[in-house]
Amino acid sequence: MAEKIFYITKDKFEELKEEYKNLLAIEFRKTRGEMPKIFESEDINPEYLNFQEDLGFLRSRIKELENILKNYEIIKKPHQTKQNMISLGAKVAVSVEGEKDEFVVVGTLEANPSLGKISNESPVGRALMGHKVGDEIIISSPVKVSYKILKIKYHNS
Amino acid sequence: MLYGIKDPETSAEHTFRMTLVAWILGYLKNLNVEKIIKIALIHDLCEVYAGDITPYDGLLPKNKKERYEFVRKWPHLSENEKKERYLRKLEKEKKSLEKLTENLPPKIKKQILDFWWHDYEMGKTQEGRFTRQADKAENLIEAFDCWKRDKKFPTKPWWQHANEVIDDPLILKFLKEIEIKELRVKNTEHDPLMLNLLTFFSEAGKLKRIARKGWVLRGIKNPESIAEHTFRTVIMAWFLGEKRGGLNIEKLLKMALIHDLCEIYAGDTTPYDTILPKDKKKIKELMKTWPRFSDAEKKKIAAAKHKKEEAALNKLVNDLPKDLKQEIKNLWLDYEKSLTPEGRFFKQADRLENLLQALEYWKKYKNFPQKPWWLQASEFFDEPILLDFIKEMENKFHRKIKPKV
Repeated sequence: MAEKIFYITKDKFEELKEEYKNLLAIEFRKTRGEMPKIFESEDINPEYLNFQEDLGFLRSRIKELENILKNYEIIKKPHQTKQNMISLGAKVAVSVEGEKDEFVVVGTLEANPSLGKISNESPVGRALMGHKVGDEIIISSPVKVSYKILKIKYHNS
Repeated sequence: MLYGIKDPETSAEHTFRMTLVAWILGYLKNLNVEKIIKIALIHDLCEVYAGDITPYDGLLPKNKKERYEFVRKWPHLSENEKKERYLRKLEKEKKSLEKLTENLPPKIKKQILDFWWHDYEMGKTQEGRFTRQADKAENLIEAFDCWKRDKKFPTKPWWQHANEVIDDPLILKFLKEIEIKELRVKNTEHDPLMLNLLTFFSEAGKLKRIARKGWVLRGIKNPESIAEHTFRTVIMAWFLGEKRGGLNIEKLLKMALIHDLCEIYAGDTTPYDTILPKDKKKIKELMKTWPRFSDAEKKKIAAAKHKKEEAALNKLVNDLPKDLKQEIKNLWLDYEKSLTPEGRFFKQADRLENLLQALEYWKKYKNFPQKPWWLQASEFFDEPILLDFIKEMENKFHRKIKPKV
């Protein structure tokens, strides 16, 4: 079976690459019984402290990062002629039954609806893809909900 | 219920804490923890149709006063009577479990009936025997919780039973600590590890009595507790996770079990909390909608929630053995930040249980609109197997009756 492709933003890619590098350093030092150097830094990511304590957790995260970094595709800003359409990475302003909301359409890895990032594989994310400003999409779950597209924007990164 | 306790625990609530007790004590004993958790989770599933069969069933005197006295002692019967009652109970429970698992995938069904439940009832393996004894230890913690709420509650029968059933040295040590702490035994030193574990389990038990806030806001009568929600979430994550494949099931089960522990101190939060009006009518109106926030507000709300919950979890696990403490904190962090496939899958499985509960309450009470749930579902889920499951839920609940908007 083909590995799943993770669509990620450039920022996320850089973040994951940095995390992978640091976690490998922690693992290397830990297995040699030394205090990893990155813990000497004052602005250390507090999450790394948790990894320091638990080698199993550290390795499962490293394995996950390796899988992502082997099977990723960076979300690219579409060509100018296609920026009027929603694709991955688009920031979309919508009116949901009269209420305004904003989403960035991202890959499953970055999805966090509580932070306004919705997955392109969710029913709403999937339905929004390819649509333009002024279009109205209807999500047909037991309750029909309409999403009117007000604005589409792409960031540079 | 026999003791007339107000708001007694449900089987789901008992199973929630019993699974925690079995997991953690089993870990300290170096047993197969995944097996223990699975046995613990299904041990009372048979009660769905068989009901909770007690040792007093069929023996209770009709006279209220006599009955009151009768349940204050553990019933003693002849060996033959015990055997006969046990076999009858077993037969009834087996039938119930067969009915419940009838339509499950054959692999899971076989595991439940032939391995986990059989092991629990028959004590075929060390894990089965250990889990059965952990069950009695949880009963005893609960008995003391009840006694603290109502001093008339008799703890004696539970002691009697525990003393007859438990022979595992570690669980006996734990029982001793219950005795020292709860009965304030003088001139006996606490075992610091056991005392810390007992405190942790007692605190975790508070989730049995914290109602899920979303249902309280919607005016649901006798809403489910956080412990009940956790119980079904673990079961759903387990079965759906097995079906999906490619996940570490032991990690998934543990993550599901601990995911709401922080709510003991942080409380249950809902997406409506920051905009909640005081007026009841206005709350009812608000519940018809799904709250929308700006990007900055979303970030602020999520950060505040994370901070509060992280502090609460740290407080709860602070005195646990170092490796257990770290494991629980890391499992929670994985779930919170979706760090691994298990974390990402479980985040959605947790919401799936919530959606299922919403549909069940809607079917029962028909008094709250479904729109926010379906709206949330279509934005939140992207895991194919969970989306398929949602389609099935839609068919089951809404084929005949369309929901009220």
